[in-house]
Amino acid sequence: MKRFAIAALLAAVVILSRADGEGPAAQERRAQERRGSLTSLGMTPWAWERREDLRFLGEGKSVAYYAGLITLDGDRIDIAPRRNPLLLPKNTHRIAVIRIETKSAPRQAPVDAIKKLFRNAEELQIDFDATKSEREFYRALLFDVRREIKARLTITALASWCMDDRWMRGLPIDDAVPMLFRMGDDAKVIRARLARGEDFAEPLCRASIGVSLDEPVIAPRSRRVWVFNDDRWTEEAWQSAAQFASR
Amino acid sequence: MAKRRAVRIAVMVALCAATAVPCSWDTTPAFSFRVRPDDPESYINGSIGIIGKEFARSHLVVAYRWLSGNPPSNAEREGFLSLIDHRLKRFVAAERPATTWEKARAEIRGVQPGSAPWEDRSGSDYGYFTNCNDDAFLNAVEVLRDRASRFGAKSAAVASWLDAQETVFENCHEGMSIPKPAEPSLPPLIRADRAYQIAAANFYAMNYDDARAQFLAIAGDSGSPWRQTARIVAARALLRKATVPVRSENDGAYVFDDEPMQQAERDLRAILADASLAASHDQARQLLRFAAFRLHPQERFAEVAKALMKGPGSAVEARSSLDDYTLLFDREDVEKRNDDLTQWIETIQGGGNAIGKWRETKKPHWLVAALASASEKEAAELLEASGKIGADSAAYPMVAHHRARLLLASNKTDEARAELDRVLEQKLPEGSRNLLLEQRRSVARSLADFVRDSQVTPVGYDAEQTEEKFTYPLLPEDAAKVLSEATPLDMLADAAMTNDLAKEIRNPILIAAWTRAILLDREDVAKRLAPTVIAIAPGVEKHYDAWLKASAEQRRFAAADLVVHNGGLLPVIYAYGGRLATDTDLESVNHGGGNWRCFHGAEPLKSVPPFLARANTADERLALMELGSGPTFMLQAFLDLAGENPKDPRVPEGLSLAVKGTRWACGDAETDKLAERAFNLLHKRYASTTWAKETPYWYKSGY
Repeated sequence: MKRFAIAALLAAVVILSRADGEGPAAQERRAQERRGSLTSLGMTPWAWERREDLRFLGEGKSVAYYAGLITLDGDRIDIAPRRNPLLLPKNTHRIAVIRIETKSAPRQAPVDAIKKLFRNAEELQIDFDATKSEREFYRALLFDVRREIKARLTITALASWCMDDRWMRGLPIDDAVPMLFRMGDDAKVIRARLARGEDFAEPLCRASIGVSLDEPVIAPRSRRVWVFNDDRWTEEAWQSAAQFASR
Repeated sequence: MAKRRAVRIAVMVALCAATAVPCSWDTTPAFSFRVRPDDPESYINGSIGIIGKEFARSHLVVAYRWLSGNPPSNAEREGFLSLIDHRLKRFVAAERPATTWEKARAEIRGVQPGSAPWEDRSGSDYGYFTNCNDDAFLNAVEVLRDRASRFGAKSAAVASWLDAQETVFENCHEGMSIPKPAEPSLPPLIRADRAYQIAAANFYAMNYDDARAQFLAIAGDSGSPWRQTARIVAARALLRKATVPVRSENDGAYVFDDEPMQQAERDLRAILADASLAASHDQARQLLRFAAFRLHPQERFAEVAKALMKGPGSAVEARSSLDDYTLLFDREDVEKRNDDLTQWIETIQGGGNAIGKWRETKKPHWLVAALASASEKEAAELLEASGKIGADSAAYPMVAHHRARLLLASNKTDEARAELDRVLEQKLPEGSRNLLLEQRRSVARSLADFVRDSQVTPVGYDAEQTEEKFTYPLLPEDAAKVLSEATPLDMLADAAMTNDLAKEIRNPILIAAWTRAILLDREDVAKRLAPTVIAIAPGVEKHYDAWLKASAEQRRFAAADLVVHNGGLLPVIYAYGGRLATDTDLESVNHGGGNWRCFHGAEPLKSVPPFLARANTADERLALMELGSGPTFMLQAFLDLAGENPKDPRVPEGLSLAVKGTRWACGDAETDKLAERAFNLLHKRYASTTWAKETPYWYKSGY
């Protein structure tokens, strides 16, 4: 905790300091340190379905990239893989984000489809909305995925699932990321409850938060932060994500 | 190394618009869409309705054609619809052609179908491209059936053909698998097929130079049934070579190789010049358009703008023109020409001298653009001109909407209402009808008219502008505000008892009126509404009967006892009806919010519909304000009751429920103080009760 606070303070100082008067090498070194400080604080950008060049992050950071969409419609499974190029620095820890949508009650678990889209990544994140009637399907699917894919497994989760619901209890996942943006009608209530110091009741939701550059964040501190940008990532946009690192 | 040309293309952004934002959980209903028509098919067929300045340009092109008096031909409509369905992800084939192939293959083999080939192959940098198109699988099915009927499904010839074709499709997703050359003993047709299969396998394996050479060799073989097809596919190999793998340069721009793209263009022109290849001409034109988009974007933009303005074209051309036009429109390096379509779209989207253009041209689409951006100063001229547009015109709903807007701005309420009455008699797109009803609500002369026009059905969700079939109406925000903040209790009760009201509309109004009657001690109204309330929420009867029997002095405590047991008792009406639109479980405390009453001290509305012009709600508003928020009212009541009658059995339970309620409801400036007092009292005076034991904390109220 203390180390986190010191690192955050250092990051803020580095970000605020100006590079005037330094040579190009020193400027680049400082820029590398600055960029590195964000991801070393547990900041992971989501690179969604648009062309993205994240090489400015520097080596050895983590990036969660949209790997594709799986649509389930009864027996039918459609896979729409990522279409846009994604440029990453060397040695990036790659987290494939796979979105699953349902058109009608699914009758087949899309484990093979997930395996196809998961290639090239070190970690897997599954993004889905589960209606009450679909929860058992997703629970079983996550057990299948856990068995078939030997990698860290996370899911995105509605903040309300994390706050009051108990349906995620016992899911075979490493982490559920409470999505604290685009919350619709729930936003006011969730933010108010977090503002008065409540934490997520679901233990799986207590390691990280999902935020967006364009929405205010009220959330428990010292969490891994996943950051969504509604536009292409640029170095400037990534710097603006520092607000989440220093909180 | 071929020179690379960087091209900024919005293609992918546009194609992936629906997934450019991670799926939102914001399910706020939309009564009309900002960026798209609610039913694209009717829209393309002329039911234009009311277009907004945020509409996607593809929809504005369609509107332009209808409003300018040059409706698209049936073929063009088909082409436009196919593109719009694709972009809105509305079209899903009954069966993937790859699955059709897998079934056909399995049938001939006499086995159960397995997994169909995956059409997409990794290009580079994590992006995939569609390597094996649907046509490839459908053609393979056709050829398989033909060869089976010629040589027999179980023949060695068909077995060999099938082995080779399965190998071809192995390349769709990954790897490099090339079929072996045909045995000399096989029939000549199967040997000709094999040459094509080998070239196709190289094509899918991304060996584009080899593939092209092999296809050209087949094209030169007068005995091959694949002669014509091979010539076209040889050009396609060049186009693939130019664009695959998908690459981007440092600034994120897409790049392609000029040289193979230009060679493909020359080859395709040669095909068009060769009358003996007439069967391939349509396909050659299509591929030429693909090349022109990349090699000559400026010329292509001018060409498609002209085609879209003029029509008619084939369905394929129309789709391609609309696709290319809208994609090139977004490119900064493409100069927007001074054509009427582009000017009109830019004016609709960003303003401009629409009235000047209308005065100059007297064209109806410019009149619509002028009306949409007209100020009060220009109203008279435009109202006169637009009065001649009849209900049979595609422009009529849009014209009526803006005429009503201008009339309302000039305080010509009766004329605006008459305009709206006329247009609402027409068959209209749902979203446009909802916009017109919103305008008519603002000039409603009676409660009945207002309630009638408040029953509107959403067309989908607002956040992602996605359509959704709602089977019930919901109260729009403006209607909820008028009913909640400007309507006297008696009228609210009348509204709740309106005949034939959908329950999603009635219930929020009914509960608000009844709760308000209880809180304001209006027994007459409470009694009038009680049977209907009890019918939908039988649980409230017990505490309501106690309230009825209570003396005047005890009424406040009985009301608090009723309210504290029912988190759903709201004296206010929220947009879309809040939780009460679809939930009649009054007893529950909804952890997502919407319990008891929030107190935001809202200002009175600036304007109200005419039927409320003389309504006075000031006293009722004041009385409700004095009660404070829901938790404050409950806490204060039970603290007072504890003071008056400490042994009243309702006190410990009421204190406990009210304290816990602060966690799930809005508070006001007094709430936290009262919650702490109530908690302390509960634990001091009633410490031995179950209620005290079940209340370990007090909470700061929120929201």
